[in-house]
Amino acid sequence: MDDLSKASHIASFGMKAQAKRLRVVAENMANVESLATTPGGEPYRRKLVTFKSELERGMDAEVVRVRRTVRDMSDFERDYNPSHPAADAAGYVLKPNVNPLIEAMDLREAQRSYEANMHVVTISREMVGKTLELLR
Amino acid sequence: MDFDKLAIFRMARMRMDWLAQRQKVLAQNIANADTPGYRAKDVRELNFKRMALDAVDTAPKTAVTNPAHIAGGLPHVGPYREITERRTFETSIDGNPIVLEEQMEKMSRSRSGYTLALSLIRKNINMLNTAIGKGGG
Repeated sequence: MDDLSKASHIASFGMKAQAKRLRVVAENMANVESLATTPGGEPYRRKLVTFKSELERGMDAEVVRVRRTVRDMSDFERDYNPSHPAADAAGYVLKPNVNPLIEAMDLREAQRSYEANMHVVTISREMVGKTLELLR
Repeated sequence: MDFDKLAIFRMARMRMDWLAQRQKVLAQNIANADTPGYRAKDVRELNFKRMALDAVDTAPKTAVTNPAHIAGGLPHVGPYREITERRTFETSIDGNPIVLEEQMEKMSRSRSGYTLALSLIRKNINMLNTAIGKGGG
């Protein structure tokens, strides 16, 4: 594999990782109102992805992969609502620890990184195309 | 005819090889833009003097005086060595020094360098065509 194809290939790994991150953000956003089903139970807990760089031997390059999705262990917010089915003995309902603003920023960042990887693919393809033009 | 015998083609090809490798390294940086603890990489700048020397004469080879001898020489390091960059624009809290803008700027510079080397090759082919009487296209 030549270096330019490798560049596109590495970028595709980056896009895959960022897409996974987007998926997790979407999951968080969708579950922003997911409360517990049992009295005093835990509501939806925010998820996070962590990245790691890994040596891809075939290409002799460090590609990015999602290490794993972890749970955000920060505290839940509480609302006083005794009539709610998920309310505990004191009448409080726990709310998911998802902050839509933080999620929106994470989304933006993922999008920006995704675009950067996309750009790498475009430029590499363009360079290959120009090389092939020498044949004409 | 072997284009590689002409220094200009060989040098243009070297430059393109170098730029392609740099493209790979930059792609690696961009893919790892959000990886905690990743170190930014780059390819060492092409040394023109070295490149010119490489283009003119090749590394000395050991003499082969017996059919059982293996032709060898100094290992060719190649002008393109990957290095870890120490000085970048900034480092984020997770220890990642990749700034997308910086990488993008490098990448577009690589692209224009690549285009330059390519047009150099094209012009020289045209010149050769003129010399053999086909007229420059």
